[in-house]
Amino acid sequence: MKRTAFKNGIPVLLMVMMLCLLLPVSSHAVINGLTGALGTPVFNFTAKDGHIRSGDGDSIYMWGYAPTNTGVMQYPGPTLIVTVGDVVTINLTNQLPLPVSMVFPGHSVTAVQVTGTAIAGLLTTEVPPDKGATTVSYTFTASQPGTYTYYSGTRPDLEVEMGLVGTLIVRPTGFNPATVPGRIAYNDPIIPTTPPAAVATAQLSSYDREYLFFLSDIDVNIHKQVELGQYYLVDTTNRHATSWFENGRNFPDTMADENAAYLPSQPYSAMPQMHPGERVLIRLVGAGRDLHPFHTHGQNHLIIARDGRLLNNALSNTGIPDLAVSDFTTTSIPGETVDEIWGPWTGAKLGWDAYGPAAGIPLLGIPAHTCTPGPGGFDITGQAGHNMFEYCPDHNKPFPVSLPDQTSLTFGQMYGGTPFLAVFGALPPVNVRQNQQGAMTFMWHSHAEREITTNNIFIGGMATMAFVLPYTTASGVPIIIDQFKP
Amino acid sequence: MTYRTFIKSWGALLLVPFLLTSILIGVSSGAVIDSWLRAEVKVIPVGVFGNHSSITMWGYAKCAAGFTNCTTATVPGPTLTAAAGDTLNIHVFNNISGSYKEPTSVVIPGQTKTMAPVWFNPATGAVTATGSRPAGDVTSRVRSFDAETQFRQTTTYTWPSLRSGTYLYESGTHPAVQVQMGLYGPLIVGAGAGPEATLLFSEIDPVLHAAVSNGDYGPGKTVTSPTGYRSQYFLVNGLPYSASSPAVAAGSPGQTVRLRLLNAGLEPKMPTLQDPHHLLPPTNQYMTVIAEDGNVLPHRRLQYSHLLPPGKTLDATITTQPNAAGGGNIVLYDMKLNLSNGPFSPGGALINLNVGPLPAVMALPSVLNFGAVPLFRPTQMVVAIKNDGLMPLIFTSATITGPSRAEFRPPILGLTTIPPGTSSSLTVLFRPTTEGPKSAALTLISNDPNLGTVTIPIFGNGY
Repeated sequence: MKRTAFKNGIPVLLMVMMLCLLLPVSSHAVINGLTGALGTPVFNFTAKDGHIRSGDGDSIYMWGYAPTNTGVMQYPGPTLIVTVGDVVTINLTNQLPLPVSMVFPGHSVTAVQVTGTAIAGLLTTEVPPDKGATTVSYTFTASQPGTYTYYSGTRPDLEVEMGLVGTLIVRPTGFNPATVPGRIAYNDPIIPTTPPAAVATAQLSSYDREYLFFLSDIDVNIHKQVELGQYYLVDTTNRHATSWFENGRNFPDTMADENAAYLPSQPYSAMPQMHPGERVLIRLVGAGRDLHPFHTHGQNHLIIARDGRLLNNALSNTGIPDLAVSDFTTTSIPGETVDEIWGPWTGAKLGWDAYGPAAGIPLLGIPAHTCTPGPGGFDITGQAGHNMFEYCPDHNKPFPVSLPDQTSLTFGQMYGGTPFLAVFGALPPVNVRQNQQGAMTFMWHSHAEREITTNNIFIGGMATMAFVLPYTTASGVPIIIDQFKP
Repeated sequence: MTYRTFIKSWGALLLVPFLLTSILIGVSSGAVIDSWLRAEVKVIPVGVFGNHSSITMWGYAKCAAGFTNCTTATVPGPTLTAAAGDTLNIHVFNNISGSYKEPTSVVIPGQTKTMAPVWFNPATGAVTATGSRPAGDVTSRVRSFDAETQFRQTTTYTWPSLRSGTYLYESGTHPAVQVQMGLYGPLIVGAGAGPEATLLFSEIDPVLHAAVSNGDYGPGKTVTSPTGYRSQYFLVNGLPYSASSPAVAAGSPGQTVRLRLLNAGLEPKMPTLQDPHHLLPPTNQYMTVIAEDGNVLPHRRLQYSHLLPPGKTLDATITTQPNAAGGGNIVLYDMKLNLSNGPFSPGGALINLNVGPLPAVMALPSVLNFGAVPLFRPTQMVVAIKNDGLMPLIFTSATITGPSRAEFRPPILGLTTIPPGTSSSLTVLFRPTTEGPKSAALTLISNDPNLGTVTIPIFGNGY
C-alpha cells in the first residue's frame, strides 16, 4: 500500500470510529411487542388455533391469541406494551370450539359485551364459541409499571396449556429507550451508582437492554388429543409436561431471529446480547403449570420486583427496592412475574485479563491494550471501545492454565478459540465456531436439567445462550447490537 | 425437713426434668384447651364432585369430653382455636377401622412439645424403641414422630404453651400415607378481631385411597407405596369447586380480611386472586403476606399470588372497598391450574370469598351446545344453577330469546330459591323443526346484585 494513502487513511478511520462512539447506539434492546395509542391503547385479538415448531422440527397444535391485524396465532400471545396510567382495552373474538376470555392478574378489569351474547364465567366474562359473532372488551387502567401476564380465565387448566397466555409490560413515567436515564422499569428514586457505572447516579431499576423470558411447559399428548377434536375428553389431571420453552421456542430456536420466517407462530427470540458494563433487565414470566429454576450463568442477577411490585419494605412502588436480592437461580412460579437485573459483566476477578495479554498477540493481529482505572478500578473510558469497563487490577494477569495441545481438545460450539473477549484462536478441525465476535457466552436455562431437552435429546427445551459482546472487534470495528439480529 | 434433705430424697428426680422442660418450652401462662378428636374412616359418596366411585378418607370427628357426642368425621378435621400461651391437650382416639389399620398420632409442625418418636425394625415390623435411637442399632427406622395411639386406644398429646399463628395439625405416624388419607386440620392460635377466612388446600389420589380401603396397600400388594401418588381431586377446605361447594365468608365491603392459607397436600399451590366484581380497590388487587408458618414477617410481601408449598402456612390480608352492589365474590384459585375434577370442568382448587354476605349466581355449563340433532327429535340438556354466595339466591324468571327460540321448549326451573353452596337444575329442550344452525339464549333474572341477569348462549344444529 502506498504510504501516502495509508497516512491519509488513518484520520478517516479514526473519524469514523469516533463518530460511531458519539452516535447514540440506536438499538438498545427493547422487547418486541404491540403498542397502542398513548393514553388509550386498543388491541384487537382473536382466539384461534395453529401450530408451532418444536426444536427438533416437530409440529405442535396450539390455541392462541392472534392480533387481528396479522390474523396469525402466536405463542406466546402478543406482548402488550403500554404506559403507566393508560386505559387499556382489548377486544376479543373467538374462533375456537370452547368459550375463551382474558384475565389480567393484579389489574381491576371491566369486561363488557360489545356485540353478540357474552357468558358470565367463573373468573370473568367470556366469549362463546360463535365464530366471531360476539366481541367482549376487557378494559383496565395500567396503574403501576412492571411486568405482568394475561391468560384465558376460561377452563385455564386446558386453555393456558394450549397456549392462551401472554405478557403485559407497563412502562413507567418518563420511559425513553433512546436515552440513558430513560431506560427504566419503575419510577424508583435516582440514587448514587456503584462501580462500574458510566454515570454517577441512576435508578436501581435502570438498565441498558431488556429481554423477555417467558417460561412455559406443555404436555404434547393433550395437544394431540385436542387436535383430534377430543377437547371434551381431555383429563388435565393426567398432565405430564414433556416440552419446555423460552418465549415459545425450544433451544436452539430460542437463538433464532426475532420474527424468523420459518417460525411464523413463534415470533419472539430469547437470545440476550449485551456489552461489558451493561445492565440487562430480565422480565421473567411464569407461563406454564410447573415451577422452573431459572438460572443465569455468568454471574448473579438482582431481583428487584415480583408481580409488578418493587421489593420494598414500605411496599411502595416508587421507593428504593431495598429488599432486592442477588441470586443466580430464581424460581419462576406459574402466573407470577419477576423483574431482575443481570450485570454489569466485566470479567472482573476472573483471575486473568479478559482481554488478553497487555502487549497484544501480534501473530493474531491483536493490538496491545492499556487500562486506566476509574472508580472501583474499572476503565470506563475505554480504548476505542476495545476493553471498555476492563477491571484494571486484573490487567495483564496471564491465563492461569496451560492448555494442552489442540489435538487433545474438543470445545463447545460457543468457544471462540481463546478465553479472551474479542480474541479468536484456532479451533480443532472438527469444531464449529458459532461465536463470531469472540464473545463470552453464558447459558440461561432451567436448572431442572430434564427441561433442557427436546424429545429426550440434549440440548433443547428451556435453554438459550446469552452473549457478552465486546464493544469493538480487536481491530477496532464497532460491534453494534441489533436486538433483532443474531 | 431441710432443703438439702428434700433434694436428696425424691425432689431431685422430679425437679430436674421439670426444670429442663420449663427452660426448653416455657411455662404456660394461659388457659388449658382440651380437644377430643376421634380419627376414623370417612367415605365420600359417589358423585359428590363428579367422582364415579366412593372415596375412603381418614378424618377427625369432633367430640365432647370423654369422646361423647361425636360429630361425623370431616376432612379437614375441625378447626382448633386457642390463644397464645394456652396449653393445648389433643385427646386422640384411634377408630380407624377396615382392612388396613395403623396406629396414629397428632403433630403440629411449628409448635413445641417433648416428642417420643417410635422406632421399628423394618424386617419384622416390631417396635424397637421410643425416644432416641438405641445405641448400636443401625437398622431401626422411625415410623412415628410421637407416641402412637393403637386401634381403639386413646392418647393425650400436650403442647404446654402455644405460639400464635396459623398451623396444621396432622398425623405424625407413617405420615406419607396417613396425612394424604385426610388426617389434617387447621389450628388457629390468636384469632384477631376482624374477619378471617381459613383456606386449607389438599388433594386426593383416589387410587391410593382405594388400595388402602381394600387392604391392597403395602409391600407385596398392588400399591406398594405412595411414590406413585397421582392426585386427581384438588380441594379447598375439603371440597373441590363443583355444583355443591360452599363459598367462604370474607367480611363486608370496606373491611380488611385475614386469609389463613394452609397446604396440607403434597403438591405446591399458588393461590391467586381474581376480582370480577370490583370489590378490591383498583390500585390494590393484591394479597399482603404478613406471616409465614406462624412467624410474623419482618418485611411484608405484596403479590397477587403467593407460593404455598406442601406444609406451608401463610397469613395474607386483603382490603375490600365500599361496593355499590353491597358485595359479591372474589375468586381465589390455584395458578398451578388444578381446576378440574378429573375430566370435568370447572372444578378443583377454586373457592369464592363472599363479601357481604350475598347470593351469587353461577350457571354450569355457561354455554349450551346441543350439537347436531335430528329434526323433530326432542333433546334435552341440563344446566346447574349454583348459588356461589352465602345468602339465598331467588329467581324471578327464566326465558328463552333469540332467532330460534321457537325450537327450544321453555325451561322448567327446579327451584326458585337456591340455598348457599347448592345448585338447582334447569332443563332446556331442543326440538329442531328445520335444518341448519340454531342459536338462542336462556336469560335468568335473580336477586344476585352483580349478575342480576345471566344469559346462557344456546347453539344447536338441526339435520
